[in-house]
Amino acid sequence: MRVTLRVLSLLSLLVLGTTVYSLQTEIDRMRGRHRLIEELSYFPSGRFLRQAVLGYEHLAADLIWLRAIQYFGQHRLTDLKFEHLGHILDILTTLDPQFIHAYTFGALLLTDYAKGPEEALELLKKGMRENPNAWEIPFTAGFIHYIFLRQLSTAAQYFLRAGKLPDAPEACLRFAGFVYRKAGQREVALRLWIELYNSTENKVEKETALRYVNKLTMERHAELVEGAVETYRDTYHTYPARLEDLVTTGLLEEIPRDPHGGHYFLDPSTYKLRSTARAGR
Amino acid sequence: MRITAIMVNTFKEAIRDRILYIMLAFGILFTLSSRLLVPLSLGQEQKIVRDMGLALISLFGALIAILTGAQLVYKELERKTIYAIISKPIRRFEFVLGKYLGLLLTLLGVIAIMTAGFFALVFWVDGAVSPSLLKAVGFTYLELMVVTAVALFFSTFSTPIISAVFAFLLYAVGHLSGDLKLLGQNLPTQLGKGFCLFLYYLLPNLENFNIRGQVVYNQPVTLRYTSFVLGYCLLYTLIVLAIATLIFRRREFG
Repeated sequence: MRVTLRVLSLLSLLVLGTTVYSLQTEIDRMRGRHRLIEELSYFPSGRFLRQAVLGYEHLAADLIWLRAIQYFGQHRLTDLKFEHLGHILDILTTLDPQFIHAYTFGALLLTDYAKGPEEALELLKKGMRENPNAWEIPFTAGFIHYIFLRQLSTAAQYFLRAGKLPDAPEACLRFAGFVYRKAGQREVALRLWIELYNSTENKVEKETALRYVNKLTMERHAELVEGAVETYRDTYHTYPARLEDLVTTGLLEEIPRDPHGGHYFLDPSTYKLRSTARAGR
Repeated sequence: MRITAIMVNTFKEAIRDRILYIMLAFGILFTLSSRLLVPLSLGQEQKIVRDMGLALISLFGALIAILTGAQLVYKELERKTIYAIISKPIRRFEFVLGKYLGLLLTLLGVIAIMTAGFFALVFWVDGAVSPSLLKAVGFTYLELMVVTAVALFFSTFSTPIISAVFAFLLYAVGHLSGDLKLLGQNLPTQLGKGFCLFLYYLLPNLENFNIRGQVVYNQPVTLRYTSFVLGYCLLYTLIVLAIATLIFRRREFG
């Protein structure tokens, strides 16, 4: 009798537990997954929050970091609107001013996905004020000035500034050197992205870097192939029908490999290089 | 009938507790003091008074629920009145349920008094009181139903201080459990993911009851949402009280 009662009690608890689980799942769906994150924008500022979290500001910053990542991921998959990203990063870095990766990664996201480099550079300036010895922040500032703003001398100054800081890798001075020597802009940009790709463990940073490496590599291939097409036309007074024609005539050593995983072909109307893996180019 | 007797008895006992009045006084004082922030709020006085009032009702309600609930069973043991009770033909679940309902009745009184003070303040600042504020208070009461059950659960097997600490921690975690889910989703291993999600569904999700933002910003709270949250509150409470009864039944007195 007692055993039956016990089994019955356990079964009832299990049924109730399962129902609670289903209710919670539905409540979550109704509340919307990023409601909490959106609420961050109601906070007046990180300075206020810093007082309010009673000494647990690093923990609070970590939680906000997790939410920021989730916020980014969510909007990247849906509407591609990141209007609160700058505010979230500002709160986060006020709570934990030494959170270097929040500045560098945040600046990259703001520049590449959100409002543009101005907000990113503001974030980086705040980072440099708070962390004058962290080379990563001026390096990222140089990176953004070089790649996105094409302000080469400012970029070189930031690379140089980063290179003089403790523990800075030799890449900082190397890139400063490239810029001062006026090396080909695409080549330097490509190296910068490769540098980022190799130095980060952050998945989103790696994906972004790879996207730009592929884009720049294809631009390089296009320049090469389209140059060969021009030479072909000048020599044979007609356009090549296929890419292979450029190889058989010795104008190209080989057809370059498409970094996007597809294969290249010549656009039959414009004779520009196209990739089967990318609709636009 | 027996449950009612225990409930009334618990209510009478709770309203004699000094802690209740201290907390209530502080709650009302803090709520009214939000009026002092009005000159600093740069046109946001209505929002600030509403935000603070609703938050303080929730916070002080939870503190009273935890501090009173955590000593419910222990007090009976300490005063040895438990022997008089269990020697009567009262089932253990009746005892637990009676205690729980008695405390809920006390909290109803506390929340009613604090809400009256809050509404008076809102009327003073706004010149009117939006009925939707009552909805937020109602949700807070549902939250307190869960918090009280949790505090009572701990009090069936530990001392008041430990029970209060555990209940308070659970209260804090209950408001952060969304992050637990987030953490689970971002963990690389299936084991870590599963563990975080297990905890997420196991621990009370008190954020379900937080509609304060929606009410202050005049956003609708649907009937469907309300009924799901009500269902969650009742079932979760039922489970916690059932486990508390099971533990309490195994305890030997005497």
